[in-house]
Amino acid sequence: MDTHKILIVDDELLIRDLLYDYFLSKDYFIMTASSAEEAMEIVEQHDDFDVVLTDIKMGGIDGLQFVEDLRRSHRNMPVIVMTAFPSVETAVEALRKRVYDYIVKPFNINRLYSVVEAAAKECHHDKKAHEREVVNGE
Amino acid sequence: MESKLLVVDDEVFVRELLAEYFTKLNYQVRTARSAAEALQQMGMESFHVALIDLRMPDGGGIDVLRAVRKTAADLSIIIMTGYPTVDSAIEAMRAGAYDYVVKPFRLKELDNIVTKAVAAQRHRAEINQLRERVTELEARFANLKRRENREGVEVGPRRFTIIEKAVEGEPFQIEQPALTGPQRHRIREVARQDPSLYEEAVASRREFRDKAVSLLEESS
Repeated sequence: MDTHKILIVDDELLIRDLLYDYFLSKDYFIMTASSAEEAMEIVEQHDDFDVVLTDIKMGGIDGLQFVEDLRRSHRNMPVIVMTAFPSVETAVEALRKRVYDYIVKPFNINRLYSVVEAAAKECHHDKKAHEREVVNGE
Repeated sequence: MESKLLVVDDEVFVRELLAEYFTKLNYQVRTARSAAEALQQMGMESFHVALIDLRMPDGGGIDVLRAVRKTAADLSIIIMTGYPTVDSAIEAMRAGAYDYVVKPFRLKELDNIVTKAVAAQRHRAEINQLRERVTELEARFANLKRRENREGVEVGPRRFTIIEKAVEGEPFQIEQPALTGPQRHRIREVARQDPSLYEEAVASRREFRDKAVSLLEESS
């Protein structure tokens, strides 16, 4: 089983630490960013994340704008958004940007984990399918 | 072209309000009182946009959405509700809704959303057509390749016409027997005299494919 690579984006140190420790215990390869700007820089350097987990409400560029920016270069990278301020508007906007899921804080970490796992698996599946296509293509 | 709108709500007030408003805006409007009636209407004619209430006595808007997603792949469906929740918004969007609007709404705002939904429908229809065309082209190419192996280079010029016509936009009307002997001869002449034309045809096919792919990528 391959190690999954996750990028965690949240301006709260506590959340980053909590998620870092948790995903480390699940054998993930983890990178963290405290802002969307920082996350964008990381993604430019490492474009092989299996899943990106981002907060919506952050100083500077917010999570939804980040997803939009990310989509330009990484059309199919699975993104899960988190928010402590859920609203119908942000949920609709997030889903329209094709996020994998919209998680409300405070979350149950086991549930978050199962969503992340599902998103990462889907990503692996897509990557394999893409590789097959490249091999078989003209 | 007149856009066709289906309004589905169990409340007569909402149906009448929306029908009147959008008819004035030159939409061709039909209404349905229930999920079952909506499905029936959609089975009889196609629409650009459907406005469907989230909760109706005989079933929800999301059920209708799921039921028609396969048969009406282009249709933009907007879910309306007086009882919005984050969960139902997520469910609706995930099931493929174009938008989720909360009642009471301002008609002007709804008009803006419907206008965008019509544009999205046309865009999706174009993409689906291109997708079909690309699939069709791929199948034709596979066939031609097989024939080429069997029959030698003669198929080359014919491949050229197929590609050319496909790029012009009529891939479904180019069955081989349609070409007369002299036409075939002429095409072969052209291909023999100017092999670059052949290359060009192949290139334009790539261009066509690229256009299809970029449209696919632009969507959503």
